[in-house]
Amino acid sequence: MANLMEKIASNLYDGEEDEVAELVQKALDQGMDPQDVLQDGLLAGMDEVGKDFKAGDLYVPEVLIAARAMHAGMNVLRPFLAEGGGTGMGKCVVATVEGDLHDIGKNLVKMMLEGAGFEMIDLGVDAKAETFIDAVREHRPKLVGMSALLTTTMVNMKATIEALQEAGLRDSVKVMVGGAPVTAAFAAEIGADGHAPDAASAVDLARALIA
Amino acid sequence: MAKKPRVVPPGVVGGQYRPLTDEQVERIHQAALSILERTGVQVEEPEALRLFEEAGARVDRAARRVRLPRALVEDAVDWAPSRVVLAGRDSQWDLELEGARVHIGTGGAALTVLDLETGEPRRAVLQDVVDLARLVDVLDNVHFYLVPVYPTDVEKEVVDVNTYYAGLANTTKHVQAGVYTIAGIRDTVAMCERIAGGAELLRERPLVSFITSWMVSPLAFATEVTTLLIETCRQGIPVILSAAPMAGSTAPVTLAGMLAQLTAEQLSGVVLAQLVRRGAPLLIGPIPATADMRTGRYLGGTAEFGITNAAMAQMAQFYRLPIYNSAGMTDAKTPDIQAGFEKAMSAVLAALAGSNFIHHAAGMLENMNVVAAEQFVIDNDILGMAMRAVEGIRVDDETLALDVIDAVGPAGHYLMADHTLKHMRSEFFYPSAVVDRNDWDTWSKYGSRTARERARDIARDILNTHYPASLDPAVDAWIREQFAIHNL
Repeated sequence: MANLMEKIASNLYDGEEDEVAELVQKALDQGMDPQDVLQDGLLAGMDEVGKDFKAGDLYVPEVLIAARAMHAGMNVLRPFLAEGGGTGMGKCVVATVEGDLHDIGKNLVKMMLEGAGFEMIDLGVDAKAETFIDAVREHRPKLVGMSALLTTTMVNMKATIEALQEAGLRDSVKVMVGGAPVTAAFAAEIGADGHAPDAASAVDLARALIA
Repeated sequence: MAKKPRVVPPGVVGGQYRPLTDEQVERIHQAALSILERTGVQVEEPEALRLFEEAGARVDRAARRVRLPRALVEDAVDWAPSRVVLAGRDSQWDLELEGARVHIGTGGAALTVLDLETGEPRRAVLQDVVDLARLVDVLDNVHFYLVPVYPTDVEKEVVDVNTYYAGLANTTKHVQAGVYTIAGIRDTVAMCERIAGGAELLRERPLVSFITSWMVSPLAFATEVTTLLIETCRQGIPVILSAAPMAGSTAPVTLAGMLAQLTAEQLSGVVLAQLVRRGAPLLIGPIPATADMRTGRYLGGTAEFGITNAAMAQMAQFYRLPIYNSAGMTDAKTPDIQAGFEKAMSAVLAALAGSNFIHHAAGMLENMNVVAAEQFVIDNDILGMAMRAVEGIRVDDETLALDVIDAVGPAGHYLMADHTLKHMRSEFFYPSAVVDRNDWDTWSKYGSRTARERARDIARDILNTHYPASLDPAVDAWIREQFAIHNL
C-alpha cells in the first residue's frame, strides 16, 4: 500500500499525468481511503516538488507538469472526497485586468495555485471589474488574483478593488496582485491584501492569506 | 579653451560580431516565413484584418487568424525604407539609421526612480522626465532620449503630449516614447509640427518617433495598440514595432526558435505598416530575452540577452531594415558590480553587431523597472567604451607610424612626439570621473569613494547647472495654450 502511495507521489513529481490518474484509480479500486490517497499520494508528491523548487533544483516547467499530474489525479479522486470534493483549499478567481492582454504571468500563477490544491476560476484577459464581481458572486472564492503588465493598466487593479468594495464583496475575499511593474508598495496603496513578485511566491502568499 | 578628448561619433559602423553565420540567418528567415504561412498571427483589430484580407492574406475571421503568404512579406520588406533618420532639435544629434550604423541610448518606461539623494525607490513623475532629459542632454555617449520613465502623476488622456513636451523642451537629442492614445498621437504630432516649423519639415527631420508594443508574444496582435500603430503609420512619423518575447515562456526555450518566432512577429508588423502606407518609416523592434526558469520572471541581464539582440541586428541587416533592439540592461537592483558586468556584456555585444538603435542601455536597473540618475552617468562610460570597441583599430600609414618609430629609435620615448600629441585625444577613450585610475594612496586620500558616489556627484552637478537650449518662446507659449501641459 505504502508502495502505491510512493508511486503516485513519484509519478506526480515527474509530471506523468496518465500514470498518476491510473495509480489513483488503482488505489481506489483496492479500497484505500480517498483522503489518504490525497494526503499520502498527491499532496505528498507536490510537497516534494515544492521543496526541490524552493531549493532551485526544479524549474517552473517541471512544477507545472507536476501540477498538471496533480490535476489528473484529482479528477479521478474528487467524486470520492467528502465536502464538495476539493482539497479544502478553496476557490480562487484570477484574471489579467481590463485593457491588458498579457497573460503568461497570470497563467503561471493559476497553474501553480492549482498545483497547491486551489480550485481556480480563470476569467482570462482584459477582465473588467464587473466580470470579477460576477465571478465572485457566482463562485464565492476565498481569493481574487489580479495581474497586469502595463503601466497604464495597473490602475485598473485599484478600480476593481473599489468596485468589489461598492458591491459589498470586498470583505468576503482576499485580493492578491502581481505583474512585472507591480510592487508591494503599490499593492498596499491600492488596498490589496498582498503582492507576490513571482508565481511560486504567489502560492506562499495565497496560503498565508487563507490561513 | 579647454582641450577635450574626442568622442566616438554616433553612427560609427559595427558588424564585427556576428553570432549567426549567413546560412543560419537564411534558415531563420525561412523559418519565420514558414511560421507566418503555417501558424500565422492572431488579429482582432478590424482595420488590420481588412488590410490583410485585401492584400491577399489568408484570413480566418472566426479563428481571428491571419496567415501571410511569402510574396506579401517579401514585398512589404522591400517597401519599407532601409534608411530612417531620427532627428534631434539640434541637427548635431540627427541619427541616420541604416546598415550597421550604431547608436545607443535610454529605454523606458520605468515606474520607479531611485532617488538621487536618499537612494530609496520612489514613484516616477513628470519632473523626472524633465530632469533625466537634462541629464542625458550632457552625456555624450547617450545618443537619444527615449523617455525612461512613465510619469505616474499625469492622466492617461494627456500623458503622450506631456511626456513628449517634457522631453523636447529639455534636450536637443531625438525624443522617443511609447504612445497610449490616438488623441495623444495627434496632439504630439501637431505640437512637433509647430516645433519643427511645419508638417513637411517634421516628416523630413522627425524630432520624435513612436513606440507601439503591438505584439503580445507569441504571435498575437494587441488590438488597442494595433490601432495606435496604424495611426502612427498614417501620420508618417517613424513607428517602432516593439515586441519582447521571453525564451522559455512566450517563445521557444531554444534561442533559434525564439529568433524565428520573433522574426515572424516583426515581419507581420512590417506587412501591416506597409499596407497602411507604403513606404511608412519604421524600425523593427525585436527585444529577445529569456524567462528565469526558476521563477518565470523576465530577465534582462543575461549572456543570452546580448547574443540574441546581436543576432536580431544581423536579421535586420539581412532585410535591410533599421532596427531598434535592446542591451545594457541588468537584473541588479542598485548600481553595483552585477549591474556593471551585465550591462557591459550585452552593450558591447549588441553594439559590435551593428545595431542601429540600442535602447534600455542607460540608466536602468531591475531590467526595465527602475532608473537611477547616477546609473545614467555610469552607463555613459560603459557605452563610450562599447562605442570605442565598435570603432575598432585604424590601420594605415599614419597610424602605423613607421617614421615616428624610426625617429624615436630604440630606447627612446614617444611622450613628446608630435604624433603622440596629434592622436592622443582621439585614439583612446577617456571615461568620466566615474572611473578612478589613481593608485591606492591617492584614491584613499580623496576619501576611498566608490564609482556610484562619484557618479552621484556628476549627476548632481549636471542637474544643478545644465539647462539645454530652450524651445522658441513663441512656440512654447503656443504649445501651452493648445495642450493641457502640466506646470512644473
